Amino acid sequence: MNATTFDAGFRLRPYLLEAKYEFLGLLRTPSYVLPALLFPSLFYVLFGVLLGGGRGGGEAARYLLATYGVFGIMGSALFGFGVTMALERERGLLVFKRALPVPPGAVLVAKMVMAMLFAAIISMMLAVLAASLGGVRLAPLQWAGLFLVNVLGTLPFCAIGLWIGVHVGGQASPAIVNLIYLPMAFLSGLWMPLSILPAIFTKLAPVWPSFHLSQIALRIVGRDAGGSLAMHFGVLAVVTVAFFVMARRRLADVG
Amino acid sequence: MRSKTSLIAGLSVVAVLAIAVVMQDATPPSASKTEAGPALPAGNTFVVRGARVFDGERVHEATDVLVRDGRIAAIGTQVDAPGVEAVDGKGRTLMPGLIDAHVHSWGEARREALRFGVTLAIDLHGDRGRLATLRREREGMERTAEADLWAAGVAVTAPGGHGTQYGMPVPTLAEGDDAAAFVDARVDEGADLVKLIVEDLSAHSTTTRWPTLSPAQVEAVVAAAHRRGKRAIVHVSKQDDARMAARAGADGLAHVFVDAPSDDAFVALARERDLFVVPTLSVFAAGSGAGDGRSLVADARLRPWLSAAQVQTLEAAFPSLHAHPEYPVDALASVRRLHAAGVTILAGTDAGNPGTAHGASLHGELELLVRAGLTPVEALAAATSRSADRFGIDDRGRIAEGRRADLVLVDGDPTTDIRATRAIVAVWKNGYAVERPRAGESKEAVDVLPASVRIADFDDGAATAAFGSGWHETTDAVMGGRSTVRHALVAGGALGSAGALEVAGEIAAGSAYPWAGIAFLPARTPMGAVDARANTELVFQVRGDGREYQVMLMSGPTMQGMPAMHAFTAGPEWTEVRLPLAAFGGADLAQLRAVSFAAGAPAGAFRFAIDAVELRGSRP
Ligand SMILES: [Zn+2]
Repeated sequence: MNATTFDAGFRLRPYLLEAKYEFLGLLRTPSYVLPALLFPSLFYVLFGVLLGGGRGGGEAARYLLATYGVFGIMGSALFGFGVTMALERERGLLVFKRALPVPPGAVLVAKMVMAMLFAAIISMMLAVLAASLGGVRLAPLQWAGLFLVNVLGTLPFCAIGLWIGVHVGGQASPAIVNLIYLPMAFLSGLWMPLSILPAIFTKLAPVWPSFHLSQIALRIVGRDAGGSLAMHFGVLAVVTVAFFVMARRRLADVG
Repeated sequence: MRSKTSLIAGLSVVAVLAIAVVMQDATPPSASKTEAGPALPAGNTFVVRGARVFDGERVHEATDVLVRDGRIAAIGTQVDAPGVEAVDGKGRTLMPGLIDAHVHSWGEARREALRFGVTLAIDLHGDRGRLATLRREREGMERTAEADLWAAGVAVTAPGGHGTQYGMPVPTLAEGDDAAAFVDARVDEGADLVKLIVEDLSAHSTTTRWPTLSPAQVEAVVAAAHRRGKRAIVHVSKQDDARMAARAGADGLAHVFVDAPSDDAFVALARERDLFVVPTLSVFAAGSGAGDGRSLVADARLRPWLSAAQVQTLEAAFPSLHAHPEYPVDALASVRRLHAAGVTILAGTDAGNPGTAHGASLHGELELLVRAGLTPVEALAAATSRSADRFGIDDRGRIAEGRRADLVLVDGDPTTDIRATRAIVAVWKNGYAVERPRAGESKEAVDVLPASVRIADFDDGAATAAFGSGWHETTDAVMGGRSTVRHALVAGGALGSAGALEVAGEIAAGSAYPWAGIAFLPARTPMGAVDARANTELVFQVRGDGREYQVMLMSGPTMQGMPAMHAFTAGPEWTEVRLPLAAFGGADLAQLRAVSFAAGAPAGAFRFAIDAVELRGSRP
């Protein structure tokens, strides 16, 4: 008992350091930071506020607040894990780090904290835009709920990103992540409600993990399609665990 | 070992996603969910708690709406209403009663509309004798089973033009007539608005042309309507006519034109003139698979409440549409462009026509409007607040304090999935919950005819009947034909009686089944049904030009089925004709709707007279 508490402060240091380096590293990668942080906000202003906001009583602004949040955090998690992991693996950084006195999990935890930090920033930027320009009014609990969904919602996409990152090469990884990220966003109704697309899109939407996360976010703003919350959480949990397990196995094999 | 773990993990992802897809499919929209429904308050004071509220314009989450004495008394997140009966609104959406901006309402239409949440409809051509009654009824706050109507009475049309072919007498505006006086007469009859018909049929037929109003007449009628403070709504089928109507100052179009997709010039004109458009996509949608009649019949959320007659008309279609598969596509494209430019689009169905059903079709129209680019919220506004605003109706179309509590509560969220409007949990009219019996549970009220009954002897100086709703001219004009008929009371009836009914006219070639004649409607409401199963024989006196004529029985769930026919000959002397009803193959005597005496092919003039018309039974 005593030993563990005594250890905690000491053990945490390498994680914090790793996270700090991860953050600095990412900031020096504008091709990541700009799209990840600004695009959701830009798109939101364009589609949620300028094009759709005036019409239909702020309905678009409210719907897109939930879905662009998911869109944004999904991007930061997939890129943050998929691309950086692939690059680091290619440069042999992982092997190098393994030689240093850093616990093996620290690399992953650092990346995860980073994705959540980005998610928090994206979530707050969208909230400010929605409340100021979009005229979206939500109860305090709804704002908090959206924030929480966005931050914790990075987990399944961190796992998927990790799995991609351990499978593909550094050069190819941005293209492959985009190939998964953008269609998945569209097919999950993150850019526009599925109800305005042919019915087959609605039917197949539950195939995409992002659909389940967006349904949870939409439930908070009262815009979901009425599916079971337990199912959405269940799917996301299984996806998170399964992809993480598969990635760890692979990482252990190839490093 | 390791690859096995990965395999299990991978398979579990596939499995859980597959389950997610299947689970979504396992809970399709069903009627059973709404069937159980909440127990609804008996009176006109209640509160709906925690519903998503679409107020006619905006959406409010988890909101309470208090109704007191039939009017909306409060809206808010925690409305204080001690002792007031509550309805659970969680997971449901409360909307203003829906408004159908284009119908032709008769018979059961107002009941059918209300059953599907349409609490108000705009009637653009119909019986003008009821206008005062309609107004009185809609001003009241009593419990009712019928939707309210704002009505144009009869439309303004040219002699022999569109609107004159339905068998009811229609005053017409000829070239040179005083348009202002004509409009004054309509408004004095009680018209709430003025409907004009600009239709030469060229968009629907290559051969037949109908006479129609000239641009100068349209301008004069619109101006006269505005002078009386009434809105002018114009029926058009062609873009050039729509342009003409807009320039003449019309307030709205009763249909979107179908001869071409809207061009930029028209979009600009409609915007500049603040013209509204009621596209009535429903009548053009037949066979398109979405929002059309067949898809509504197939929807489990609507089907149980559709009467047999409604199913029959929903599955029908305008014959001309088969020749023009591009019409629905162009109509959708036009609405898309007009809406994108900010032109007001209103939801209307033209119910009363083939391919539609009162009430149910508005739900299809909403889906079609979303297909045409309106968001679900915009479509809902087009069926509520926008219509109320554009028709100048100030106590409906919104959920706001003081407004009449005409409300619809549905399961789910139509503000994102427009088809959810069909999952009706409750409809309130004047604050009273409307009974929504399933079609099988409510039979059309049908009078049973006595076994032997005199229909008419034409001896008291009028062409009247002993019961039912009278004698009406009927021709093939409803099918695009051009045959004509007129009827008159003449002296010197059969067997030395005082009078008889003479029917004369001309059969015109060119229609597939030409006919012209006179129809007796036996029910108290025109086109309604009577039970004639106790009757075995139709007996009447006839004389005429020697031609062969037909007695046609219209029967069954609607007036639109094929008639059962039996021939008779009208010779120069009065002769008794006895036709056993059993000889009318296919007639459904449990629902007899009309008994017609008519001439058919060959083309040419005809003349005959009937007298002493009666139904006899085997039992005394
Ligand atoms: Zn019409």
